[in-house]
Amino acid sequence: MSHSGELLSAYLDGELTSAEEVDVVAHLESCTRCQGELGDLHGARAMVRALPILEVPTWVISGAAASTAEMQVRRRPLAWAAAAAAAAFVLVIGFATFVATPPAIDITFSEISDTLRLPASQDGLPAARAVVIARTAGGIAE
Amino acid sequence: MCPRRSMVGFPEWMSPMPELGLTWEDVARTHGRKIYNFAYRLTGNPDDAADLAQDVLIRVKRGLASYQPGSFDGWLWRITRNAFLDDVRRKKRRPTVPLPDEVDRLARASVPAPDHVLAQIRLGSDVQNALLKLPHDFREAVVMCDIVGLSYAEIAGAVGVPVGTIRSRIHRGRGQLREMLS
Repeated sequence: MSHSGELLSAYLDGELTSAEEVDVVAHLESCTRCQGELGDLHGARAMVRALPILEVPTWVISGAAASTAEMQVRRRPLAWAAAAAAAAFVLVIGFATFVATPPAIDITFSEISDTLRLPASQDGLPAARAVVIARTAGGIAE
Repeated sequence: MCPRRSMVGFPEWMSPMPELGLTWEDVARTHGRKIYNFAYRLTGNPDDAADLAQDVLIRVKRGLASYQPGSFDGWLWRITRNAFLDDVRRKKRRPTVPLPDEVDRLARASVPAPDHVLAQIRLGSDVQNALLKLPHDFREAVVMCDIVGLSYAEIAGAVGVPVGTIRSRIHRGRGQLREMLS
């Protein structure tokens, strides 16, 4: 004899077909195990259904009412415009930084002096270093 | 297949849903409380439930213009379910600390509640905690059936699974609740 199993919950809820219901009722008459299970399921269902129904806080509906469809529609173009402006800003700044930054030169003052055939200065520094220091301090780039 | 049950615990005026001439105010008035209670029993948190209910009502407002007359409950509860799942995904990214449950909050109140009220709340709290321990699919099916009052076919339409799956989830959910609460 097969027990009613999950048909029992559906029986409680009135969710069985007529044929299924006839079978379940007939089985229940003679099966104490399914009678006990039906009682347990009924108890569980009753406890959930006895939970209090809570009122919706008033701000939930008033807040949703104040949120108009137009606001939702407008939000998207604004968001896209802001994203496009931000992307353009990043591109402009990146390009300007790239153009304004001179390429790094890894060369010693001695090599400059040798290349330009400059004499050493009186304090022993290569003349190239003295020239670079003087021009950098004056804000001159060459 | 089966006649629609009246809404569990809801007054009669909340049950019928006019499908023609549907306005957002109609939906908010007749379904706002059901959506809130569904959200509360699924999350166990009144603040989350309120936020979720408002999110659903805003989504309904946006969607009503394109709503095609048909299964209104299926449409509404699909929106509600999607809003809940989106909320769960958001919270996984930004976990929050849960609020103390109702009994704890009442115990801290300056004026203690009468014993019978506390006992009732404690039972409700036990049932709520048991619900929260159910696997999500079982909890969702049980709450849609026993709190909202949807038929198996309506639940299946909202969740997008066969009616037989809903039948099985409700049965197994109730069985687990019974074990936890006995």
